[in-house]
Amino acid sequence: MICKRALLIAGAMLAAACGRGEEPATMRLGVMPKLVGIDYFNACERGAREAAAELGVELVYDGPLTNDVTRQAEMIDTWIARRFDAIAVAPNDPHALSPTLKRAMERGIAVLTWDADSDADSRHYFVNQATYEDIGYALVDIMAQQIGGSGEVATVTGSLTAANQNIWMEWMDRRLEAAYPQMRLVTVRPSEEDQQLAFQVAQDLLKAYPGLAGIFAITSVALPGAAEALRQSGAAGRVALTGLATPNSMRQYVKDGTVETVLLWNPVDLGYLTVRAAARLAEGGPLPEQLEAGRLGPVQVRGQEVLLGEPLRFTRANIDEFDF
Amino acid sequence: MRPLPGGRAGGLVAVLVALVAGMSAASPWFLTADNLLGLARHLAEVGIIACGMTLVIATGGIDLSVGSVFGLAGIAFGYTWQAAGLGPAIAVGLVAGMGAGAVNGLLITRWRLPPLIVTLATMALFRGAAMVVSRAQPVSGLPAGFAWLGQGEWLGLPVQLWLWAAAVAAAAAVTERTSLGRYARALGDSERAAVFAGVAADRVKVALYAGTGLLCATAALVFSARVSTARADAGTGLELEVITAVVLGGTPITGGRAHPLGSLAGVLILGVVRNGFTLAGISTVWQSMLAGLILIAAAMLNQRLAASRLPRRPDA
Repeated sequence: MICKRALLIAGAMLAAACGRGEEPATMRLGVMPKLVGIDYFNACERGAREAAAELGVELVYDGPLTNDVTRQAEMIDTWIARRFDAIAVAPNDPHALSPTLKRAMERGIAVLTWDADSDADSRHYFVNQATYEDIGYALVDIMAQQIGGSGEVATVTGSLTAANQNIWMEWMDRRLEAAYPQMRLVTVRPSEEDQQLAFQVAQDLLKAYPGLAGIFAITSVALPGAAEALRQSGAAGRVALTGLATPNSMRQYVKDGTVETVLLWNPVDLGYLTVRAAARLAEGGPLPEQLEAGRLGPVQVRGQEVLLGEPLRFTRANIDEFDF
Repeated sequence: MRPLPGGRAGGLVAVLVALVAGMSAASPWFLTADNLLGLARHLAEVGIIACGMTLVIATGGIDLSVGSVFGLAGIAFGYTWQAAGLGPAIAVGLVAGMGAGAVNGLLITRWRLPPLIVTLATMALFRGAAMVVSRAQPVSGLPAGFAWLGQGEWLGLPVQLWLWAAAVAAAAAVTERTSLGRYARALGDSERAAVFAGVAADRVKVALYAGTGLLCATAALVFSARVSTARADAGTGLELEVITAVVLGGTPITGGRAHPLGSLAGVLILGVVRNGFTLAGISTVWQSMLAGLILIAAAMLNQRLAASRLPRRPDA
C-alpha cells in the first residue's frame, strides 16, 4: 500500500517538476563558470544571455555551487549526453577536466575554455579576457605606484590550482623582479573563492606581517573580503590594497579610500564574447583571425586564443560609470 | 540471502523506478547508454565507499573522514608514483587509506572516544596532511595505462562499475554470511549485550574502519584515473553524499542493521536525481533544495515502513 502510494506521489511530483520534453532544432550551447552565485560570474551570465538572445541560440548557463572540478566534470558529461553543439567552461583545474573535455571533442562538440584555461589539447579555443602579461604587470604597477616602489607585499589568491590565477602571479613575479627589486613578495595565500575566508586570510596576513606595505587580492571575492578586513582592522590607508573584482562589489571601498584602484576587464563582455565564439565555432571550421563579435566589433584571435582586449582600471573617477 | 524486512526493498525499488521513469520523461537523453554509463562512472566512487560506511553505521558508529581519507590516499598515490612508479604507488595508496581507517578505529576503541568526534577530527587531520604533503599542488600527467581504471571498459562496461559491483557483493556477503557482519550488527543493536556475549568489539570496529579506509583508497585510485590527476582536495563533501545514500538505503543511523543493497539503491537514487535534473535543465541552485526535500521524503518513507514492520525476531 505504502509502496504504491510512494510510487504515485514520486512519479507525479517528478512529472510535474520536470516540464521539458523534446529539444528543438536550434543550436544549443552550454556555458559553465567556475561556480555560480558570485557577482563576477553573474555578470558573465548577463553578457552570455545577451549574445544568446541576439543570435537566437539556446543557452544553458550553469555550474557547481562551489569551485569543485569534480562537479564540473559530472555536469559536462551530462551536457555531452545532451548532445550540445558547443560547450564553454571555466575550469577550476587545468588538467582534471581534460579527459572529459577530450571526450566532448571526440563527440564532435565544439569545446572552449574561458576565463581560465585547460590543457591545450583538450579544447579548440581559449577565450581570454586579457593577456596574462597585461594583467600581472598592471597589478604590480598599480601597487608600486601606491607604495612608492618598495616594501613587503603579499598575495591572496583563489585556489592554488586555478590556472589563470597562477599564471597572473607568474607575470607579477616577473614584473617585480624586472622593475621593482625593492618590493618583496612575502607570501601567497589561497581563499578558495570564498569571501569570508578571504576576510580571515587578510586579517591573518595583517597580524603575521606587521610591516606589510600592500596586499594583492586577485579574485573577485578575495578583494572585497580583504578590503573589509582592512577597513575593520583600521589598516586602510596604511596598507595598500589592489586586485581584481567587479566595480559593484568594490564601489564602497573605492569611495572611502580603502582601495585606490581596482583592475578588471568587462565580465559582461567576456560572457558575451564566449557565446559569440562558441556559436561561431559550432557552425564549423577554425575561427578567423578577426572574429566578428557583434557589438564588440572585430576581436583578435591569436592561435588558439580569443582575446577580449586590455584590462580596465576602476578608480573613484570612473567607477560609477559601470554596473556589473 | 535473507529478504529485507517489510516493504523496504520494494519501497526503494519503487522510488528508483519512479525516478527513472520521471527523468526519462523529462529528457530523451536520460535512458541513453552514454548517459547511464557516464552516471555509473561518477557514482562508482561514492558507491564503493558506501559499502564500508554501511557496516560502520551498522555498528552504531559513523565515519565523517571518508572524504579526507579519499584525498589523502589519492595524494599518497600521486606522490609515490612520481618517486617510484605505478606499482608501489598503488600499494602505498591502498595502505595509506587502510592505515588512516585503522587510526580512526584505534582512536575509537583504545581511547573510547565517540566515532562522531574522532572522525570529525580526523576529517580535518587527514585533509590537512594531504595538503601539507602536496603543498596543495595536484599531481597530473598520470600514465595512460592507469587511466584505464577510471576511463576504460572491461567487457563493455566501465571498469569501476565492476569494482563497485564487487564491493557491493563483498559487503552483502560480509553482512549476511560472516561472523564479522553478525558482530557488527550486534554491536549496533546493543554494544553491552554483544560484549557480554563475547564479541570482540574492538577488533570488529578496527576491522570495519580500516576496511572503509581501504575502500576510500580504492575509490581514490578510480577517481585519480578518471581525471588523470591526483588532488589533495578531492572528495571534499563526499562524506555527506555517502552517509545520505546509506541512510536513504534504510540502514538505521543508530545501527543494528546493515543493508548494503539498500545503500546501493540510495546511491543510485541520489545520482539519478542529480543527473536527471541537470539533463532536464534544472539549474544547480534548485538541485540542492530538491535533493534535501527528497532526502526528507525518503526518510519519512523509511520511518513509515519501519513502523509497519512486524516485531523483529532474533537472527536465525
